[in-house]
Amino acid sequence: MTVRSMTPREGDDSPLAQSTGNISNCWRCSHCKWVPSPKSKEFAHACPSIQWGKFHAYSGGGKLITAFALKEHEADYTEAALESIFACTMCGACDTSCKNNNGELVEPLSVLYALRAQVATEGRSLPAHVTMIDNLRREGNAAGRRRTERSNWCEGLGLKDALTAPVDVWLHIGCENAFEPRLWPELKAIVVLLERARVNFGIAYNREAATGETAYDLGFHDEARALAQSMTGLIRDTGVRTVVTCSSSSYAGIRNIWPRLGFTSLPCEVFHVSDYVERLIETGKLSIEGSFEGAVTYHDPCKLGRLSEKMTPSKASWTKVLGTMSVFDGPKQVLFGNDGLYEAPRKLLNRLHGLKLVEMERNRVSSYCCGAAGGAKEAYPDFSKFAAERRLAEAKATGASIIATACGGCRIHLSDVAKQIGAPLAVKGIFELLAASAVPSVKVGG
Amino acid sequence: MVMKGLGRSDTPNATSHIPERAAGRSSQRLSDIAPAAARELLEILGHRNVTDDPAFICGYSWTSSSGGAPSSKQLAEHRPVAIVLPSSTQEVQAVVKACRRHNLKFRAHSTGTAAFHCVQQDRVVSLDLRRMDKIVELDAKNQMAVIEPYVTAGQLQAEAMKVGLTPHIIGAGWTHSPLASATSLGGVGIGGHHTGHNVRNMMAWEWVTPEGDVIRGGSAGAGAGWFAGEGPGPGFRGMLRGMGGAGGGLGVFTRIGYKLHPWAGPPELEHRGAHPQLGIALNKRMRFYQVVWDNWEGPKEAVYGFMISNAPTLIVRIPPDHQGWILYPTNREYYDALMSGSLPEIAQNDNRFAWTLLAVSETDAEAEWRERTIRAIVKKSGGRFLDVAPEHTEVLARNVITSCYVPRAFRSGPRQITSANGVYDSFNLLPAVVKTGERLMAPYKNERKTLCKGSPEEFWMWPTEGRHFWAENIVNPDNDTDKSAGDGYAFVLQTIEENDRRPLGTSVFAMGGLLAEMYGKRFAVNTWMAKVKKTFDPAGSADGIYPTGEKIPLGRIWPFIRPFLFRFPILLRRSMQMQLRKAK
Repeated sequence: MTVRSMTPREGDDSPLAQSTGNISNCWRCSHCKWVPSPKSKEFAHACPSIQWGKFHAYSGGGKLITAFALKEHEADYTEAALESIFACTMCGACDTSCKNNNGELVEPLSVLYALRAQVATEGRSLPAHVTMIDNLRREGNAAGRRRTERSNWCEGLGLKDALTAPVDVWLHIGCENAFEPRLWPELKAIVVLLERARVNFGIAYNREAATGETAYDLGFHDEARALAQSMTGLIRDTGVRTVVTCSSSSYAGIRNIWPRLGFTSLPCEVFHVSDYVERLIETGKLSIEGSFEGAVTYHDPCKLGRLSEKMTPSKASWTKVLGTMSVFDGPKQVLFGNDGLYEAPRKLLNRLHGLKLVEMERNRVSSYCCGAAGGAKEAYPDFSKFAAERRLAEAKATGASIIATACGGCRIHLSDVAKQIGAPLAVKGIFELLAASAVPSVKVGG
Repeated sequence: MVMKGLGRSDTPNATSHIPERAAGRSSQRLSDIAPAAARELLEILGHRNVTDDPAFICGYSWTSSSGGAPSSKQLAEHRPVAIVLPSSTQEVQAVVKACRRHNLKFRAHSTGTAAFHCVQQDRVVSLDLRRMDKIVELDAKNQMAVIEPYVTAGQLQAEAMKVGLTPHIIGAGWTHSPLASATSLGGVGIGGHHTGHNVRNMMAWEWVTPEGDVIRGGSAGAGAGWFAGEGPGPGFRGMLRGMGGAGGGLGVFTRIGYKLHPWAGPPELEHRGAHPQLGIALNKRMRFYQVVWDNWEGPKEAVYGFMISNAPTLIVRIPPDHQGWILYPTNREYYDALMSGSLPEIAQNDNRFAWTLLAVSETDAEAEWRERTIRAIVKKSGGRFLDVAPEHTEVLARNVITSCYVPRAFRSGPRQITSANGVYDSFNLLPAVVKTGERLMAPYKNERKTLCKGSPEEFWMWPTEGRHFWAENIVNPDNDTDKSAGDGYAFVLQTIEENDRRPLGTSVFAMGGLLAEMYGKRFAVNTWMAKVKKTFDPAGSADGIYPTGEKIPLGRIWPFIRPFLFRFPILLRRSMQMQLRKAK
């Protein structure tokens, strides 16, 4: 039985067409605004967007209503409407929380992707985002840094070129890491670890480009597809069976966004570097000896956590069973966020003797976004800063002196905001922390 | 004039060709109909806290329980002219006075679950109280808190548990506002055996009246603190909300003293399992029991023992299909388990004569006493304990403590949230109430197939305030079709009618002007509340679902058509369907 309100209108091929049922299912319960299990009043919020913007339109459910209103010409692409859509990091917290009640019925994040695509299709994208897309087209990175500067970080290291030398592993760097000198020490620490574990790896130097998830976040699916296509071509060209990415964002892009774009099977395994290094240690190919006296809290990056859950596309459509109950008529994966990468970074941190890992109230699937992603930082810096301030406050409440993370984007954004507001804790990348505490006393095993 | 609202001309993202209004839309804008009021609101609250942007207005016009998407009628017929975000009682007062000066109405809401955020008429300014979110005081010694409107029950519970207390959480789930529930709407929840009823959990209160006065009532009215609702200051707590609540129709409540209840469990719930099937760790001082009988006489007899002994801390009956919906993260998984015959016993209809119990104790000895007592009561009443898998007990225990999964009862289809018939009376009525619900529901489930074919009657039941019988019948129509949605509404009326005719207890959800008029004789309280409304809001400034006493056409003819509609249900169903089509 076809379900009337759950299926697109005939002939509707707009980006939002397939979201009709999800939107219709939202009953404004507001669970999208809160973490599934609050442990305090202060840190109960799941969504930076509604916490900042306050009107319902900023929430996950509110954005669904806006999508409906725009599609039905009940609202306009006003400045306010666009702000409510794009003062959002696409962190997926609303999606995770919604599923506490609604299972497969609403899927806010999928609708948000479609809404942004609708905005882009109608030529209403924010100027800041159009600039990012232009940068991606021209230079292969959203910040507009020159392609030729991409491998400046490894000058003098003599790393193999994965496209010309026979290597087992392509070490994928990621835009946020390659162009930000403050992250280069981490990259170099990773290189040291891989070399000491005798991993035969190379990098793609200046032929590496963005993976596509940023373009997808901004609603530009064709650009995202082109970038993904380009990278899959590079993977084929290298002939590697293993890609290790230093970018949490790319890791999410490959596992979660690429399947949405039709790239479902790759000729290689893809690891995030934290996972890969931890596996090297677990298999005895590497050991780390070091110590750190003090408490550290770990910030789960949205991209590495709930957004990196591997996605399997489905063409199942809605049907009714038991008279009224909506279900999909075939297999369809429901992403709850549980298969994100949560443990490897923690395990690495715990390898430092004396380090006391203390958790923030909102962790793993319920992690609170730092505010850096989704084009929010570029378009709405005040919002982006607001989110980081809240996250730093939560980190401070743990008593830790350091907030560590496994994402270059989070690391830089949190650092910048911490500096601006004089936050009494340091922001570190996990490899930065390992390097400072263990390298050069890293003991090579295997 | 276009109200500035959130739009900031200095934003780097200002787009250059934004139309002021899409064509062919009927929505009103405050900046068009009352420019002076718009200016005044902006002066009071600042440009980031006032909007009449159509997209934002739609967020406050979502009729989640009726209508036929994808038509535009998923949005309400009446929409607010502006949304404002006051941050203090003084700002609320200023907004109310501004509305009155400019001949506008107003309505406040807190979390605005489902369609409860919607306004009921045109020219209404909607006050979203989101910025008023402080736990002003948590007084552990006196087991109470002073809270603002946008503190959620989940937030309050998290803080209260740290000091050995817990709040009442209503059926809407923990994202609701205890202040809104206590002052303005309903107020019953599955933990009611231990945590009471928000009618009486509200103590002192602060109120911006429909005329814009700020009044503190109960003990707060005498400057004596927030501990008592009936004085020594002005004490008319009952009149403010009656049984159902004014739903915004009597002004804005900005702060209350709120009763909390002892919590013998851990200061922080230790979670188990994977999201969304999180459970909590049980231990010998926190024990879960699922007890079943062969018919409804057993649960009726046993519940008196449970209530008198107070051996279980929480007592609730959840229909087996809804237990199943709680135990599976998606509809599909529930359905597959049902079809494959692998549903756990607790989710099977044969075990529907049941109570779910949770006993939480301060000491091991107390836990042993509770267990012995519960077992003796169950044995005496002919019941037996059902084996429930540990991972399921943990999930269900979390649900009953936090009301976390209660909204899953609304999961059977798009936008269906019909909570039909709150029966509020004696447990002696339990078998008759359930039997009636089953009889009325049967044609819709079995023949017409317009209500979800789950369990035969779908009653959630518990002892509210540790003594009264509360039975709330959750119906699950398919609002995609007028036939099913119409049947859902017909069923609701049938249950109210049955309760009225036999009688079978007070139908607490017979709220609003129309139902109050239709069943005014039995629900005389509503007639009196209409007088309260006229006294405190002679100009009708506060929009809400409060009975106003105004004659409604259907109410006039109701006594004449009533016998026919219920004798010939087809007429009732057709009427409901016509009503739905008219709404489109």
